[in-house]
Amino acid sequence: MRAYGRVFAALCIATSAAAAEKAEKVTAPTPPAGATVPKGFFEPYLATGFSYYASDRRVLAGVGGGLGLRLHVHRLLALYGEGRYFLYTGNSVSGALGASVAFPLGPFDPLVGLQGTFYGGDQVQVIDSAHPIPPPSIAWAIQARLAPLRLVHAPYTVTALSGDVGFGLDARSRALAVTVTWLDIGFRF
Amino acid sequence: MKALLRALAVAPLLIAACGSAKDAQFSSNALDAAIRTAPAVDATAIRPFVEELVARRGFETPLLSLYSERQGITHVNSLAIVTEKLTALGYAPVFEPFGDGALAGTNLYVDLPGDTPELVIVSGHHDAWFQSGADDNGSALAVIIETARALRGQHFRRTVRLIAFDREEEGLLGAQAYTDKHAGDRIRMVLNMDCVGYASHEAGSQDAPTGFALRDRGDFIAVLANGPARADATRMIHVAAQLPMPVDVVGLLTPGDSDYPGVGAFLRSDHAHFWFRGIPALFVTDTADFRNHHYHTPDDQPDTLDYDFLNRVAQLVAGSAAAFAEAE
Repeated sequence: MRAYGRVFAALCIATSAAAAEKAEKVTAPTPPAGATVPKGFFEPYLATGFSYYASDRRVLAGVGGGLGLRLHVHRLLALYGEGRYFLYTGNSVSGALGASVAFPLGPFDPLVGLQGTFYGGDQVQVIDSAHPIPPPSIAWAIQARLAPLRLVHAPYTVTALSGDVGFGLDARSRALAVTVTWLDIGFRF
Repeated sequence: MKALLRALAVAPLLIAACGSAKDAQFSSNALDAAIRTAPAVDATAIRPFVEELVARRGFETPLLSLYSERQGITHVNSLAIVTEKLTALGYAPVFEPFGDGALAGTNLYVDLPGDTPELVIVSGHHDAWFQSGADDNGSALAVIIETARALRGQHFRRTVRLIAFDREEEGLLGAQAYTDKHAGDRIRMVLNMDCVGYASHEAGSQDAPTGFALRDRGDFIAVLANGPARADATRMIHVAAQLPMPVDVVGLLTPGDSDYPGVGAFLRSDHAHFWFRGIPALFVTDTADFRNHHYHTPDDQPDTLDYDFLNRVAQLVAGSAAAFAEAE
């Protein structure tokens, strides 16, 4: 019986010591200026979806996927770059560079972004008597990225049904540039 | 590191610059050949030919189609009338039967010999659904006859071959038989036509395959190019601009041999067998059912065609054939 009493006393002392240490951590002051703190983290991701670029002078479209990398430079701000392959009008590719802002809502982390995108590879080009020479093989676009259904469960992120919508920069032509991403899965480190 | 970043930034621009076509134009002697040839098309002969063709199909008992018992194929009297017209113009038709039983057919071609055996081919199919087929493909046969007339008596660097394929409507069978048999031929260019006589100036008269944007009015002739013929589509547009009776041309430049799901609609005629073999070929068309609602119906009759438009197309094709045959 005496032995049991000793063990119980030891447990109480250990628990109270741990609690005291935790309380000390919670109330610990912020590090002084100049101390080393993590400035950002990376998030490579895989994306699958549908890409479409159409103007009076060309069409590229297809279903496919690609790889991207987000650099979270701040809790809310990220820079990203990605490349995709898609197949429909041929073997086509796209690449994008952009910046996004997140709006955390509990486990959800919807984001909006702005990006520059290029489209290249196989495409159907349109020429006529006014434009007898085909357009350059690379098409450029400015797009807004909208990802309302973005779930963060560290270190993983899952985004469903996000979209990049914008306009192409083909000369003397209206151009629509759209990417619908069905699923985007990322990993933060 | 800076140099690498700079190179990465410049690379897309260089790729874009390389991708833009060189100034693809015919030499002046080739353009002269086109300008000399096109006016020799006889505009007054086109409508009577289409009317006679459709009338003679009316005397033919259609074959039962492989696909539908309600629809029949005619291809006997069309071969006969093309043979008669080309023979009357001084050509010597060559017949190439192919297939067996219900899939049998006969291709026909004539040659205008040049300095070399390298070929410039002008083609279209002569079989038709029902007993009509004014646009599909009497219009192209009229252009072949007029090209024969316009080229008659001329001599070019290359040999010009005019071909009327059979059994296109049931799977491009004639073109497949031809390309199998003539696999060793050197071919500079194929100008294949299917439906080239229907035009409309009304807004909303032109449709396009899903995802593609074409003009709203169906008043142009479409020229579809495979990868090896992309610059040639530009050349054909330049020819069109030089002719006394120009026609508005819209070129659609497809990648490679176009064997991709999104451009399957561009493979719907005999040129497909040339594209699959990597041979430069241009498909000349009024876009068929994307414009003409009589397509593949008994209503595809001679009075639905625009003969001024068809005459301009005939001049463009005859002139372009001469230019491709004469070009260096």
